[in-house]
Amino acid sequence: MSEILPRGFVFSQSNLQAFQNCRFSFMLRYIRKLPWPSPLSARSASFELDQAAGSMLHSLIHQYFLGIDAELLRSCAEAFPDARVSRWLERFLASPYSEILPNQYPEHSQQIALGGNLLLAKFDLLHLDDDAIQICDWKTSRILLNRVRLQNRIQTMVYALVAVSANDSKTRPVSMYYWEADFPDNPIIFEFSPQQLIDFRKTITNLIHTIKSLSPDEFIRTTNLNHCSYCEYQTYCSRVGIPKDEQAYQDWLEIGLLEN
Amino acid sequence: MSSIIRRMIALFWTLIAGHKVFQHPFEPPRFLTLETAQYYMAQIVDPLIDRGHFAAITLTRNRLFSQLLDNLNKSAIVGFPHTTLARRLKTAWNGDASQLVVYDDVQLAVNAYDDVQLAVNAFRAYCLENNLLDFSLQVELFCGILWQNNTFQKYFQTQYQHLIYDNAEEDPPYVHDIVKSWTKNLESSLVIMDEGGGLRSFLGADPISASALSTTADIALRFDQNFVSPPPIQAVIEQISSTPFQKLPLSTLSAALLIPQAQPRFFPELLYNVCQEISELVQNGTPAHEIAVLSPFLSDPLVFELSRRLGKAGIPVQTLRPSLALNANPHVQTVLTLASLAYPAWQMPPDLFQTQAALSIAIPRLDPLRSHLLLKQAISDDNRVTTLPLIEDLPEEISVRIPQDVAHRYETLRSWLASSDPDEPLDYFISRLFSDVLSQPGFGFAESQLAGEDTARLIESYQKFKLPLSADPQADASFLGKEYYRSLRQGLLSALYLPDDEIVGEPGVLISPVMTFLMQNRPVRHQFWLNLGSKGWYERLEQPLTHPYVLNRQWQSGKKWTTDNEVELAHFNLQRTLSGLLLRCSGQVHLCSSTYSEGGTEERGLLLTWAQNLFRSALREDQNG
Repeated sequence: MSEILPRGFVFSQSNLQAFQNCRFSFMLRYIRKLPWPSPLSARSASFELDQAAGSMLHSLIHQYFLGIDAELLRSCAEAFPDARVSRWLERFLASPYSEILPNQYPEHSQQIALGGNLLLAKFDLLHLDDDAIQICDWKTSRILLNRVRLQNRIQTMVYALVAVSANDSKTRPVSMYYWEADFPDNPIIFEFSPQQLIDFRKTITNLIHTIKSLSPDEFIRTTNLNHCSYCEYQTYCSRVGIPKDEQAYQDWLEIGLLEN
Repeated sequence: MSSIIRRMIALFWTLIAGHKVFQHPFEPPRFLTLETAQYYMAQIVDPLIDRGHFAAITLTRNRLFSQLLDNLNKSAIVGFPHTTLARRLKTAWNGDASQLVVYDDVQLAVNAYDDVQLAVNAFRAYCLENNLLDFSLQVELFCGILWQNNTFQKYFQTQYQHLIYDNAEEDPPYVHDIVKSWTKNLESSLVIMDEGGGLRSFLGADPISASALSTTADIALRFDQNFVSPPPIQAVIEQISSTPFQKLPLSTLSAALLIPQAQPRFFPELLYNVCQEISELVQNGTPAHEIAVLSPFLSDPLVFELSRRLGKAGIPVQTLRPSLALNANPHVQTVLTLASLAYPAWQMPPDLFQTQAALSIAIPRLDPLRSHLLLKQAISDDNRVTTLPLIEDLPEEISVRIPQDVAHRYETLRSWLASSDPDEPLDYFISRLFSDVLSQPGFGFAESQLAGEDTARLIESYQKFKLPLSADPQADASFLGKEYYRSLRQGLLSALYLPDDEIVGEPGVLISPVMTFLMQNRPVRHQFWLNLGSKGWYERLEQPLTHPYVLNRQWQSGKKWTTDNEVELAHFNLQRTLSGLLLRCSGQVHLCSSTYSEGGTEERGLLLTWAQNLFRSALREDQNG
């Protein structure tokens, strides 16, 4: 087993996704914690705006579930420099996901032990009902995400796995709702079967096992240059990513949103 | 606590907005760092200075701004209205001679405090107009609005069931107030404090307020057994706290404190001796990480020289640096010098030597002499470089002295700078300069991890700086870059902050300022105390516009701060520092002094006198006995 991971390292959706994107980038970012000048460009400006707007929407929805008056939230959204936020909030308030129910936990973190390793999930909203568990995730993508892609995303697997394991829900069905603020009428909903949950556990366990078994020189650079597009270590690797790759854009946006 | 406060204010900004404290309550908050707060304070104070305020005070602008902010912070963390600052300071001032050095006469001193009040009032008003939140305002909003709010309390109290709160003695009283109220609703709480602490009193730490938390506890335990120090060191600890002066046997004293047979005359000799002693200790089996070299202040040359000598002897060195001076960082200087050439609208062209140094770092084979020759062709009358000259425009006798490959790289850099967009944001510019030029083969940052890290931190520093400023619609990219560069040159942005407690270097001999070492709470076998004669071991910083002991919850209103208070404080500080160091020593202390200090003067502070008296009396006793 490799001992290069920092002691007490907590695996999460974002670092596992980063590993899947590029092993070398994972090592620089999470093991060596190397600060490096990110390539900045006009494209990064929209990246920053998207991050700020996405983060604001998450904060407003969080406050909504904490019981803050919707009118005050509207005033804050209207005063926010990016007009999308106000629009997104209105759509959220009009959606069925804004219903306030007992046992809802906004911006809630849960951690489980998985084969001796810690695995963390940060839920946008977790609803622990007596007979079901619902996970909600708010998204602010520019394009509607593909259902198949979402199903295979590390996030989907980690969230479902942690929700099941941390809340003793062997008998309760678990479902996950991806709600897109720009496509409010097209939520993507997953209802996980017991077999899917077993598969998720296996996939994530294997992924963690792979990370832990690698020696430093096995954290190799990705061969898929799409993943380099928004990586801060482009110049470290003397690489230029393929621009305009929406998938890479979304991956890094999500990682950024979760880690900030 | 400060990070919790910031996070909670950001999350519950809407609740605060509802109170309409700010002029634009629903617009997002603009959090200020210490540096950006100083920047805005400068916007307020500079016009006041132009109108003759603060005329009696001789202080650098940075120290003036930081003391004004310190006053605001004290009012928030102690819990009194900032509008009473001048009254409090005036009441405690006794007009003694030492203060007159600063103020010229009594009336001017009174005026200075009135100026303080004027400045902090104006700063606060400006913050409220523009949604700017310095630390003091964050604390006031948190304690005054959020902590009192039911929605917030409902959220906060469900977040945590148990609390472990360590180093309570290093926190100001508002934290103790919060903890006291918080623990009522927790399932369990454990508060830990060190009675010998309160090292950050000058920053508002209040150990008396911390100890009051024990009165609300169900169980209070006191641990007074020393598991670290050997008996001779424990005897010295006891001696320090004893009054009247208690003698120690020479055998005990010599086992605890080591003094050289002969005192070196000059500081470099002392450093040589210290390195010799450390080498011997390491050769005799002491692990290098069990040795610490400590001084009240740590200058860069001192760290450099010790590191160099120890490194030469094959001994690893660690330094504890809370911050790294921006202006002292060659990579940062290089990038910013090149930026000042690329942004002529800033109207702050670099001088010849600055540009020469930057070119030599950017292009390693372009030595300072050649870059000097090259630049001399383009300097203005005031020795400034406004643009890099074209190689082909140089006289032949100079151009032939520049190797072809170097000329090619110079031209690459020159043309890249010349073609850069003057409206490009500074962080984008730096990022491109790094990736397009400086990190490319043959340039100075190529394959240098340190250069990459420094550049990344510079970008981060700029991005933090621009965050509150960029909310102003008139603040375009050119303005933001200019303000950053100007603030940096004026010393407002003095440091590149590293993560907390960052230890630089592999495990080895620790070179650290005394206070930083104490806060690390890590025992070592051998401590080398340098600059024994320095007053830095006990004297508080000179702060004519603020006063950490008067602006304190324990200060009795109406009392005067006298010279006796100052002397008493110096003795108390020294005693607390020495006890703290000795409690973290599991072997011996090496007392190191030279006739002339690091600064070249003869210093005879309290620590040196104490050590000399201790040994003199022990020797006398030994000879008599």
